Amino acid sequence: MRQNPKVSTLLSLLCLSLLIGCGAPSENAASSDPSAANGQGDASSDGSPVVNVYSSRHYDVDDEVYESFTRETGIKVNLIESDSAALLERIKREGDQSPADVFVTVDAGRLYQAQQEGIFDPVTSEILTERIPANLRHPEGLWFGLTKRARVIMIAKDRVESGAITRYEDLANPKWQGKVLIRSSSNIYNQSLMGSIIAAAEEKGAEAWCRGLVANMARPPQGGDRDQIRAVAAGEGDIAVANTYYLAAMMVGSPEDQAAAAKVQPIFPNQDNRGAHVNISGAGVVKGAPNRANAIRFLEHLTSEQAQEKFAGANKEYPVVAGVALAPELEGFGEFREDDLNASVFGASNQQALMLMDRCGWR
Amino acid sequence: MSQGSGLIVDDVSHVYDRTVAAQNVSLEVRPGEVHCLLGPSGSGKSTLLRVVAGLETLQSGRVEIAGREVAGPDTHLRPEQRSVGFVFQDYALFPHLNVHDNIAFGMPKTSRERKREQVGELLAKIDMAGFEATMPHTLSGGQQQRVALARALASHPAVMLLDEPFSGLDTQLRREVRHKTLELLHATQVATLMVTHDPQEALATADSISIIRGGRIVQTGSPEEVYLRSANRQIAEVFGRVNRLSRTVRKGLVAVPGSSVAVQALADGTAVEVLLRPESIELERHATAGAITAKIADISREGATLTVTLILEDGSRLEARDLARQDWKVGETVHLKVAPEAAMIQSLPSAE
Amino acid sequence: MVGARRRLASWVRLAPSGLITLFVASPVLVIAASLGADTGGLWAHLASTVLPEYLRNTALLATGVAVTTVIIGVGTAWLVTLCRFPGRSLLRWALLLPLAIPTYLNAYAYTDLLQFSGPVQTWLRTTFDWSRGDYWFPQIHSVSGAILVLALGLYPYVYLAARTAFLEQSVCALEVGRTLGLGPWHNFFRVALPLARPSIIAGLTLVLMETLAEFGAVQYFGVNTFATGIYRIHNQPFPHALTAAAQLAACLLVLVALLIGIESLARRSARFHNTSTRYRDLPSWQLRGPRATLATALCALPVIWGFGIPVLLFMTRNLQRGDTLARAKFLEFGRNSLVLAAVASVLAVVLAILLAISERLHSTPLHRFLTRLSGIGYAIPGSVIAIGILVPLYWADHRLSAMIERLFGFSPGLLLGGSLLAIIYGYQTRFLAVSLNFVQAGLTRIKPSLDGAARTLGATPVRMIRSVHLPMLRGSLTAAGLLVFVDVIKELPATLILCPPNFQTLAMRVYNLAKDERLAEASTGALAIIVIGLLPVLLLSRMLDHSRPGAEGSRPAGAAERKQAPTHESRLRPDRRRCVARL
Repeated sequence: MRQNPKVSTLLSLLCLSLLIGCGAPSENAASSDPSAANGQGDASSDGSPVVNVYSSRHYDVDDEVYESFTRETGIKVNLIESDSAALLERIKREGDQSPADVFVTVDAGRLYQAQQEGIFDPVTSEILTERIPANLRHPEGLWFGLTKRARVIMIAKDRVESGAITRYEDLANPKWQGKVLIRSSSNIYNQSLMGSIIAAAEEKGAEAWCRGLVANMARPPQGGDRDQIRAVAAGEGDIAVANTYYLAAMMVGSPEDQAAAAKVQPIFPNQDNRGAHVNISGAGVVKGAPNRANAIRFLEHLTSEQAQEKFAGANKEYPVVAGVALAPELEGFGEFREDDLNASVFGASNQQALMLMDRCGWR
Repeated sequence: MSQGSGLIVDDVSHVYDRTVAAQNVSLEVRPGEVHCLLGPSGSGKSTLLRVVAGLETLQSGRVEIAGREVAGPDTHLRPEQRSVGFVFQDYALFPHLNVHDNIAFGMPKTSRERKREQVGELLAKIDMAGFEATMPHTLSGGQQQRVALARALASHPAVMLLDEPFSGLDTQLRREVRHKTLELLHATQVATLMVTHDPQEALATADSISIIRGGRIVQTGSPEEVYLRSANRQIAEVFGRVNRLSRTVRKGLVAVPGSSVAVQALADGTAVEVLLRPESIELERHATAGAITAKIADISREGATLTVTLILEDGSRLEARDLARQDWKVGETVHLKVAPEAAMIQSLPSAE
Repeated sequence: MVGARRRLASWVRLAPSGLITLFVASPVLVIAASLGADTGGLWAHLASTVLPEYLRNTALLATGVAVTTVIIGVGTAWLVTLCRFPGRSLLRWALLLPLAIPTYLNAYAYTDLLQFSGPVQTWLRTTFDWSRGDYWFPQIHSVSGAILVLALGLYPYVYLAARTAFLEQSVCALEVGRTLGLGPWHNFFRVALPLARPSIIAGLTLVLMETLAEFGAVQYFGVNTFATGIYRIHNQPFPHALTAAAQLAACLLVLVALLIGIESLARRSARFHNTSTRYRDLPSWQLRGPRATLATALCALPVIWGFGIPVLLFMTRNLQRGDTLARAKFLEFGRNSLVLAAVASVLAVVLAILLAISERLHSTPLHRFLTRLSGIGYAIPGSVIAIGILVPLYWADHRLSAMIERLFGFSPGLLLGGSLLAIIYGYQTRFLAVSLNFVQAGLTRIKPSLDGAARTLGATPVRMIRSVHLPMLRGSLTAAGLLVFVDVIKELPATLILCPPNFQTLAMRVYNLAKDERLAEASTGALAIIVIGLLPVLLLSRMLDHSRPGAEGSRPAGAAERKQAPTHESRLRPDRRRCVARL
C-alpha cells in the first residue's frame, strides 16, 4: 500500500496529539493523588485521607453520594467499578497487598459469596446496626445492606384484572400459558428469586414451579427487565417479572417508556403469606483494608439519611433505613409486605437454583 | 575486488524440504571465472547457491570464499559477512527504493557524493545512466536484471551467485543482457557461480560447467568438454539430441561413419555405443576419402538450420544438422563423414 | 562444543517469540490449565443440560457469520475494485464504516428498532390494526438476528482483506483470465477468488475469532453460545464457578485451535508472493442501467444497515434524552479511551512485528506455533481473559514488590496491578491477533528473495528489518494499528477489571448505562465511541483508496522523482509469460 502523504501527516498529527494527551491522565492522577495511579490507598503515605472502593454498582447516583462523602469528611474516594466476580477475584489476587477497603455489590448472593471467600472483616458500628434492620445485614457485621429492590409481577392494566394474579406461584399456573415474560436465568435477580422459591417450596416444589413458568413463557427469555415491561405494554404478553425500579425509571424516562409504563401495573406478590421477594445491594469492609476507619465512615455515610434519599430518589431503590422518603413513583406503588428471608439463604442456594433452572430449560 | 582463490565448495551435502539438494558436491570457481551449475528445474541447484550465500545453514561439508572458510563443521558466517553478491531469479529489487538506493544499499560506508558517483559509474556500465530516481516496478525486465546485477557488484563481492539470471527475459533481450553481464563479470574478476536449467545458456555463458543430477555433480568441465565429451548418454542428451550407433571394438578401433576411432582402454569384442551430435556429421554431395553413403529420408528446416534424417546402408538412422548451404533433397544419396574426435564412445554396461 | 553453541544460538533465536508469547498468552494458558481442576459436579451438570445448546448455537452462529461476511465482504470488495458504477468512490471507503460500531451497540439499536414493542412493529400494528399473532415478523432476538448483526459489524474485516488482495493481484492474472475467454463472473471465481483466498481466509479467521468471543450482542439477543455460557457461569456467586467458566473457555480454545489449524493449512497450501514485477491499472467493467443500480444498492445496503441505521437511531435517542453527565466528564472518558487505544495499538504493532519477523527469520515449526499461540486470546471472551490476566499479573506484581522490599527495605505495594500498564497488557492478550494478522499478511507479500538480497548485500538482520521490511510494511502496519485502535475503543471487559481507580472510558460508560438498561442515555457514549472509532476507520479507508498495487511505499522520503520518463512504455507491457506460470 502506498502511503498517502496527507494521510501520514494526519496520522502523525494524531499520534502526536495522543502522545501529548498520553501523559496527561497519569500526570493528573499523580499530582492529585499519587496513590491512585498504583492503586495504593495508604492514607498515611501522603497525608490526604482516602478510601478505596471496589464496586459492582454502576449508577450515576453513587458518584454523587461518594462526592458528598468527600465533601463532608475530606476523604477522597478511589473507585473501581467492574463485575462482581471479577472484582472479587481481583481482591483475592491482590492478596495481603490489596488496597481495597470496601467491596460494594448488588445481590445478596454475591455478598454471601464474598463472605464465603473470606474477604470481609467484621465491623462493629453502632450507627450501622442501629440504622439497618437485622435481616438486611450480616449478624457479625461482615456486610451491610444498602438498598432494597423488590422483584415483583407486572401486569397489563387493560388485559389482566387486578387480583387475577397474586402470588409468584401463580406464574406457573397453566391459565397464563403464553402470557408470561421474564428475562434469562443468567440474571442474578432471577436466580435469587428462584432461591426464595426453593426456600418456600423445597427443591421439588420449586422445580415444578420452574417447569410451569417455562411452559407459560410468551417468548424465549431475552432482553432486560425493561424489555419485559415494554413487551407487556406492547401486548407481547400479559404478565412480566421485573424489579420495581425499572418501572419507576421508565415512568420518568423517554416518552415511549412513559407511555409503556402507564399501561403496566405492579403487583406485590404473596402479600397474604411470606411477602414480595426483596433483594439487596450491600457492602462490607475488606479484610486487611489499609484505610479501615475511613471505610467504616464510608459505610456509615452510605446509610445516612441524605445518601439513602439519593439512592431512593434518583435510582428508585427502596432505602434500608426506616423513615427515609421513597421516590414518588415508589410511593405510588404503595406499601407492601417484604419476604424477610435472610439474604444469605438465597445466596447459599444460588448454585442449586441455577442448576434447577438449567434442568427446567429456563434459558 | 576479488582476491584469493575465489569459491571452493568442498564435499557439501544438503537436504532441503525433504529433497536432496546437494550430495557430496565439490567444485571450485577461480576469480574471473564463470561456473555454471546446470540441472533440471527443481533439482536443488538454487539451494546450493543459498548454502554458499549463507542463507541456508550448511549441513555438511565446507565452503570457502576468497581463501576464508565461511561455512564448515565449526563455522557459519552470516550472509552479510561472506562477501557474496546474489542475483535472484526475480531480481529482488527493493520495491520501495529507487534505482540509486537499490544499488547503493550494499555499498561500503562512504560519503554520499562518493556513493552517487559510484552508482552513476555502475549505471553507465549497464547502459542505464540517468535512471537513479526511477522506481523498480516501472523498469522493464531487462533493466531490472541489470540493476540487480549492478547492485550485487556494488559491494565488490568476491563471489557472485546468479540464480537463473536470464530466465525472465525474452530471447532477444536475453542475448544482449547475457553479453553485458558477462562483460561486467569478467571485468571485475569476480568468481561467479551461476545456476541455470538451460543448457544453451550454460554453453554460451560459462567458462566451466557442472552438470548436476539428483544433487550430485555428474560431470564438470569446460563447455567444449561437457558438450563434446559428455561422460554418458544422459549427459550428452542434456545438450540436445544425439545419434546412437551400436558398435563393437575391433583391434582397438571403433568404426564411425567415415573413419574409425582408436580405443585403448577397451578390449576387443566389447560392445560400445557411439554418440554423435547431429552437427558433428558432415554431409557431402561428392564422395571423399572414407566417407560412407546414406540416403536422405527427411528434411526439416528450423530457421537457417536444416535437420536431415539419414538412412545408412545398414538401415540405421542418423540425424544430421547442417546449415542450409546446400539444397538437399529427400531421396538423394549423400556422403557423410564424422571427425573422430567428435564421436563419444561409451562402453555398454550390459555387455559386461 | 559446536553443537552446544548452535543449540544455544537456536534458543537465543527463539527468545523474542518465546518471551512475547509467554507474556501475551499466559492468561490463556492459565485458562487452559483449569481443564484438570475439580468443579464439584458443576461440569457434569453443564454438559448434561446446557452444553449441547451452546455447541449448536455457537456452530450455527459461526457458520452463519462466516458465510454472510464472506458474501458481503468479498462481493462488495470485488464490485468496488473492479466495476464502475455510480457511488463507487464513496462506497469504496464507506464500506469500512461499520467497523466503528461495537456489535453490542448494533444489537441494542436493532432491538430497539425491530422488537415487538419497537417503532417498526408498533407502526405496523397501529397502521393495520393488528395485534400479537396477527402477523409474522422476523424475530431479531434469534440466532439469525445475531448472525445478521454480527455480520454487519464484522464483514469489514473480510472486505478489507479481499479488497487489499484484489488490488494487489497483478493485472496480468486477470487479463490472462480474460484472454482465456473468461467473463467477469468466471474471472472472479476462477482467477481472482483463488488468488485472494489466503487473504480472505485470514480476514475470515479474525471474524470467526471475534464471533466466538462475542458476548454482548449475543447475550442481549438471548442466544446461548459458549461465550454467553462462559460469562453466565463465571458470574455465579458460588464456589467452582470461575473454574467451570475457565473450563468452558478451554473448550472454546480447542475450537479456536482447530480453526487456526485449518487456517494455517489453507494458507500454507496457497502461499504465493507476487511474482509479477510490473503492474498497471486494474481493468474495470463499466456497469450501466439496472446492473449499475443493483451494484450501488448491493454495496450501499451493508453501509446503511451496519452504520447508517444504528447511527441515526443513536442520534435520535441522543436528541430525545442524552447522557446527563457533564461534558467535561465525557471529554475525560474520551481522552482515556484515546490514550489507551493509542498506546495499546502501538504496542500491539510492535509486538506483532517482533513476532512475525522472528517467525520469518527462523521459520521453524516452533516459531510458527508460538506466533499462533500469541494470537489466540482474540477468541476468548474478554471477561474470561480478564480473569486469566489477573493470575500472572498479580503473581509478577507480588514478586516485584517483594524484590523491591528486599533491595530497598520498603514495600512499594502493588505496582503493576491497577495501573494502566495492566490494561495495556490485557489488550495485548486480547488483540495481538489483529495486528499479527495484518503484519503477517504484509510480510508474506514481501518476497523472500528480498531478504536474501538484503543479507547478501551486507545487511545485518536488524538493518534488513529496518530498511527493507519496515518501509515495505508501512501500509500493513498502519492498518494493523488502526484496527487494534478501533477494537480497543470498543472493548470493555478487560478495561473494566484491570483499570486503575477513578478511571473510566467511553466503553465503560456505555456499558454501565446499558447494563442499567438506560439505552437512551447510553446513546451519547455510543455516538462518542463511534466518532472516535470513525477517525482511524476513515484513515484506513483513505489509505486503502490511495494504495496502488505494486507501489507500496513507492515514494521514498527525500528521493526526488526526477526521471520518470522511461517508465510508461514498459509499464504498459504486462508480463504475460509469468502470468501463465502463476495460473
